[in-house]
Amino acid sequence: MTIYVNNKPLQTAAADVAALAVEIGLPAMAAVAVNNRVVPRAGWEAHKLREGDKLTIIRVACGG
Amino acid sequence: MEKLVIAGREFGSRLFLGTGKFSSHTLMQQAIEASRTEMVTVAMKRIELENSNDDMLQHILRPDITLLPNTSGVRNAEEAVFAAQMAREAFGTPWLKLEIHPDPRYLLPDSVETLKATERLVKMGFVVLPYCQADPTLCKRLEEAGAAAVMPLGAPIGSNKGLRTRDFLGIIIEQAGVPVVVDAGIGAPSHAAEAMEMGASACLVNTAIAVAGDPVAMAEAFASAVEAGRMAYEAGLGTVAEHFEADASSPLTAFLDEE
Repeated sequence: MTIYVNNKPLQTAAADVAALAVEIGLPAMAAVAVNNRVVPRAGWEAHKLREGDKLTIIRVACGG
Repeated sequence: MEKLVIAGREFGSRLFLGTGKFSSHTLMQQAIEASRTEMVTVAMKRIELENSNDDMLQHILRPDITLLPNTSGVRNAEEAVFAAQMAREAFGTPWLKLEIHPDPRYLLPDSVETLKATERLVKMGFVVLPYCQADPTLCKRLEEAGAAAVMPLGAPIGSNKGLRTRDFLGIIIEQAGVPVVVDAGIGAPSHAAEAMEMGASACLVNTAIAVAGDPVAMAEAFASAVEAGRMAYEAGLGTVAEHFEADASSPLTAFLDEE
């Protein structure tokens, strides 16, 4: 299926957020929102992905 | 020196460090160590799927350092609340440097949105440290809304201009019931010392250290300046004379002429 990660289309076989995290090699300190709702890490496995889902994934960056 | 306490957490250092603009992660790490800081700010960015490797955190994470994620990039309270939730998830901390500055030219904080976001985030259990205008009325309102500290600016972010808001910072410090952290514009150790002598609780410095000729030595210079300024404040500065006449500090006996 096709989902969108930070507005870019991505073909994935991942059934849930946890599987996607493994597939894309998500770094340790990151956060995921699906369709603008934050998904807590503990709920990644339970959160199934659907065709067309829009994900926001952030990680740490340098900043003041 | 008295310890700084924010939201029940004690800090041995009154210098907070930003992690932007360093030419390398190694240099950033060395500057963090030299600064003796216990609070370091970080930002968030969207991951790029092609390039998700960045070892930045390895250079920051230490048991004695509190991470303070910021909300840089958000334009209003709603976006700030979303960013805060993401930060809490990513870093596992409710501590947050709230910054809402929609105008890219001056990066000045939007007071209305900052107050709105503070009210909401405090209710959601965040430890909110808002970057804000050096506005004494606003700072009181932020405190009443439950901000753990206020972070008024000395001058625009990255400008190194010093305490252009000095007189207002003085009022904020006088009135505050929460720690006052002077953030933005501090460009030299003397500026930091000045803020601390005035009674500021801490200073947040980034650009002045990161872009210095020798960032590590500059970090150490800032550490000394912040400590010296705080010590001077606690020691109690002498009063400044209203006139310009001298007040002798040595006895005025003319001993050289004495037989």
